[in-house]
Amino acid sequence: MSDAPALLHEPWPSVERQREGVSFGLWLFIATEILFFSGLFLGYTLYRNLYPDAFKIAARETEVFFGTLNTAILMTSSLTMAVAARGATRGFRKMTLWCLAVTITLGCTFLLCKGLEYHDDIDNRLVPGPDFKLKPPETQIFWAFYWVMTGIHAVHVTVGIGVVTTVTLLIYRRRIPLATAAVEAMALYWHLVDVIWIFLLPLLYLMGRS
Amino acid sequence: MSSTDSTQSRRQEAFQLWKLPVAIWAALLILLAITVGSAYIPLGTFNIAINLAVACIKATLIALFFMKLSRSSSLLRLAAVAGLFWFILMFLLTGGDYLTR
Repeated sequence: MSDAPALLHEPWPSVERQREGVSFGLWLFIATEILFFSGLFLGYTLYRNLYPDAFKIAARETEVFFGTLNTAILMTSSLTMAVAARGATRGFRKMTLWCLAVTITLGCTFLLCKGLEYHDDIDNRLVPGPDFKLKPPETQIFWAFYWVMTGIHAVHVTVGIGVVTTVTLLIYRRRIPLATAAVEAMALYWHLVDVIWIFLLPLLYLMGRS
Repeated sequence: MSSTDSTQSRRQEAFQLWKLPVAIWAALLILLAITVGSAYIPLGTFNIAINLAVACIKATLIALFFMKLSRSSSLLRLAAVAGLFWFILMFLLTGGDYLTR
């Protein structure tokens, strides 16, 4: 047992306190992430209020199919991530590793769909600039928000995939214990990324459909 | 026999582990169907209101059950609410200026 990786680290007096500390740190990070994204959400709200008609015209051009499919994919990846976090603390090694592998796969599927969608958007000349196809010119503001918000979100998904893959491999090779607080920490982050997407869906995809 | 019993109880425990997350996941998918479906019904300003309300319900479900805030300590709940508080403050102060001009 001596070469088994330790669960408890300095300076924590107990594993419970360590777990609490890790989650607390993650929640503080999530608060900064909320504020980071809220700047974009706020900008979106103000410009939508200034140019409501242009925003409706512009929003009709986003692809609801990909938006909805990607929401379902992210929600399902959140399910497997939640189960992994629960399984890890209860010693379900095989199930946790499988759930993490499925989470990684679904994350990659999300990015693949996003890439196909970006390809269509570029083909449809929806990148703000001289070639932009929509009128009035204010529609470009909506599409600028679309590219920045979904782009930054995709960066978050990519970072998430990297972190989850790293931790999964470390657990698989028994370099860190299964009950590590890292699983809970990355689960919190993964769910946050899901929540942000849940708000992007109505603002970018569902507006101006009726 | 005892090893079969423990396998049995282990299986039971694994089943219990999936129960709540799957229920939340199903609720999230139903809410997704509602929000996408309602977007195509002409309801004027109610469209965005319904869609944002559904998004808030989905976010609450994820925060309470996937992010475990329903069973977290007050410290973690406070940290979560702090993020929300600054978010609301930012919208209120900016909105109070721009939206009332």
